[in-house]
Amino acid sequence: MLIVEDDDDSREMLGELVASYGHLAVPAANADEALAHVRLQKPDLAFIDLGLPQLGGCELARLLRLAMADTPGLKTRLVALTGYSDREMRESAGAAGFDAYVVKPIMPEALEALLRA
Amino acid sequence: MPESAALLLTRLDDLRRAERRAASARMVSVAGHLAGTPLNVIAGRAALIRADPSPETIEENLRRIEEQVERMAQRMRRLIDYFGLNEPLSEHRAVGAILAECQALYSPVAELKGVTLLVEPRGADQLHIEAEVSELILTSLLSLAVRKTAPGQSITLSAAAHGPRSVVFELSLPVLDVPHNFERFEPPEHGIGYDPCTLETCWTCLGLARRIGGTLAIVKAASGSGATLHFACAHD
Repeated sequence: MLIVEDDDDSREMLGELVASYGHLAVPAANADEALAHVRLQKPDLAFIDLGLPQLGGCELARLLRLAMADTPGLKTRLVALTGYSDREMRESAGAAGFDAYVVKPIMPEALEALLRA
Repeated sequence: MPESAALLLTRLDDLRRAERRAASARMVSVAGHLAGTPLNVIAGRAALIRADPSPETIEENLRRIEEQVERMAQRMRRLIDYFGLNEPLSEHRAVGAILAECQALYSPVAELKGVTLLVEPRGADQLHIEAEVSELILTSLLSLAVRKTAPGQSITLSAAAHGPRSVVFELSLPVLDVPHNFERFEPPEHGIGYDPCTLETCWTCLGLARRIGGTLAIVKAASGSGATLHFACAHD
């Protein structure tokens, strides 16, 4: 599971929580790190904070979709993580290629359900 | 006054309401974003304690939760400061001049609707108060009053000194469908069933009043469906 989150506390906590459910958590603090990890690790799922610095979450999702189209065997579900619940933001995330959209705080039960899906 | 002028005033009021709604929505959205990340960490840390309730895990995660609580409190304080009193205030003007402007602006519209608008300075006309925010509050409340009052009825706007440092503006309406505790809904009312536009105007005016250290209160008439809106602020 790839966790792309620039906030150290949030990234660390998500990593520990994902690990407590028995999954391997790969942390990334920005889009560059995320792109490098995706090519190497081929994660099943990526939680991506929409408010990443420099290259934002939606731009990262677009790049990951392009990478998936070019890389056989790379099929990662993309989950947007954000504090914003506006319809506009949801639509932007959907258009960027996210499979799911989660408004923070993500409750542990919801996280577990996403990991099981 | 031509009808087009009345229409213009109505449209200006609509635009002002739309602007208020957009600002409120933006503020709620930003507040949600600011609180979301610390709350996310708190919820996750609580789940980690539940999954492994060993003393070490509890101790470490509680420490991290406390950090996030402090972080969230800091963010909320910054947000409150931003929407608080740190903005430089505008020029001060005489209450009499402010009332005269309100009357000049709203009497023609009220007249077109068949509503009588009475303005009474009650001896406070020479007192000086903050002008920009006070005028916004009074014109918003007058828009609401003219809209809600039926032809043949009257509304009264007055201003009087209150104590050594305050001016109280009173706007009396024959009908106002809003709870006296509009600021904080409590059972059994919860605000359900009240006109959302009226509530929105009252909340906005309360927020504006607080920016200048003032207050807004609603006193329901002892009999009938009328009410008086009390806007109080400091004078020089």
